[in-house]
Parts: sequence; C-alpha cells; structure tokens
Amino acid sequence: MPIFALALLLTIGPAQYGNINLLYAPGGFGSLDGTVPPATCEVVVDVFNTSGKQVATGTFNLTLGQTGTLTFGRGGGVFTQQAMLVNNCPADSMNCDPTLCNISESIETVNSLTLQTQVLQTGFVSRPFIDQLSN
Amino acid sequence: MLGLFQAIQLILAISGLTGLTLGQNANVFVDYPPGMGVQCQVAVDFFDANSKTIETNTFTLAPGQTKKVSLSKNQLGIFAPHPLFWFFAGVTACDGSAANCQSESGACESLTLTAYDTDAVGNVVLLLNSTSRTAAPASAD
Repeated sequence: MPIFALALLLTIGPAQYGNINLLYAPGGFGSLDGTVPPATCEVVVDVFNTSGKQVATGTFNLTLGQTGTLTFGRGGGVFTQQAMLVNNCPADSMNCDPTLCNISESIETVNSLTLQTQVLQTGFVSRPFIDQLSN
Repeated sequence: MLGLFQAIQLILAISGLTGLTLGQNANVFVDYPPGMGVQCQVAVDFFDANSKTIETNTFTLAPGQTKKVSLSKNQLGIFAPHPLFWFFAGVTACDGSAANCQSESGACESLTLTAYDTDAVGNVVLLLNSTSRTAAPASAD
C-alpha cells in the first residue's frame, strides 16, 4: 500500500516526450528516535492517458543517491502521472520507517529533435522532514 | 557524498534530476543581499545520474556579492545525448580562509539561489530552481 503519492497532469506535444526522473536525495538519514529508512526505497510510477489507460509504468528500488528514469509520451498527448512510495519495510522490523525515504521527482518535457528540456516540474514523492512536521 | 552533506549547516537547495543537451550549461547563482554583517561560506556541487560528483565549488560570499557556478553538458559526457544531473547548494562551516566568515550566523539564512539552463549563446532556456527570501533579513548575530 502506498504511503505517499505525487500526482501531476502533463501535456506532451507531438515533437516532445516526457522523462520522469526520481532521485533518492540526501536529507533522510535517520531520525532522532532511532528509526531508519528501509535498505532500499521503493517507488512505483504510473502514467495514464485521458481515458485512464495505463501507458507506462516502472518500479524503482533506490538506495541513497540512486536515480531512476521512466520515459513516456512519445507522439504527444495529455497524461496523468502518479509516483507512489511503497512501504517495503520488513514486517518484523521495529525501527524501519519508509517515511524517511527522501525521494524527489522531476518531470522533463523534452524536445524530441533537440533533446532540450523545455518544461521542468519538480516535487517530492516523500520528503521526510516536511512530511513529519505536517503529521 | 554522505560526508559532504553531514558537514552542511544550512541547505539552500537540492535540485531534481534533469538533463542537458548539446551546447547547454546549467548555472547556479547564489546571492547574498547587502547589509549583512558577516561573510558566509557556500558549497555548490553538481552530480551525475549516479550521484558521482562532477563539479564542486566552495566559496565565501560577502554581503552584496553574487557567485555563479556552472556545469557544461560536456562535463557529463561528450557523447551522451541528454545526460542527467542534479545539484546541491548549502552553507558550510568556515574553513578559516576568509575574515569575518560566520556561516553559523543567522545572516546566512538570507542567501538566495537561482538556477537555470542556458543554450550555446547564453540565452536562458529553462528555470531549474529559484528560492526567494520571504522573511526580513536575518540579524548578523
């Protein structure tokens, strides 16, 4: 079951494509109460068209500093993307906290010809300190 | 990478992952508004998609100064068509090289950052990151 999700509506032109980039960024090393993030942070990314049909999907298991990219939308269209952080802590773990995963997401709209990033949207699938402060 | 971030006193920005193409540069500007009483030491580091350090810069800013740090597409790979990078900027502890450097001062919270891509002739083509100061300037103590 996902514990955090980031959803965005994306429009891709006929001569563009989209890159969904994930980064397990520094900033979630642990908490004061001794809990730690899982060995890898699992993120599932899904892209849907306007009919609700899934057109791309990817599962990424990231360690600190690792990145992942899912490319979609060649040919253009309007899409919804959702990136979800999965609770993959072992059931018997007493100190594993998936909310300590610090996963940033950036979505590039790239010109297919020049490969220039033309639009950049950034956000966090999970941002430990902010999420914890809001709880 | 972990060692660097543990030495940081204040995070100014951690960018998302984005790509550069032929002729492009990524540029990070760090601005320290005038009127502050102390200098601040800042680190700006660029990483590739494997979080390998590609470019690292540490510098001291006096009040009123702005520093630009750049990364070229070729630094990420001559043949890669759309190599990805991310950057980090933060205030670090003073190393003693600059007089009146007090990175622990609240004044260093007044630093702002803007980052954007430019093309081969220097035109701005994409805003990467922008932070602005929304509070009153911090005191120097």
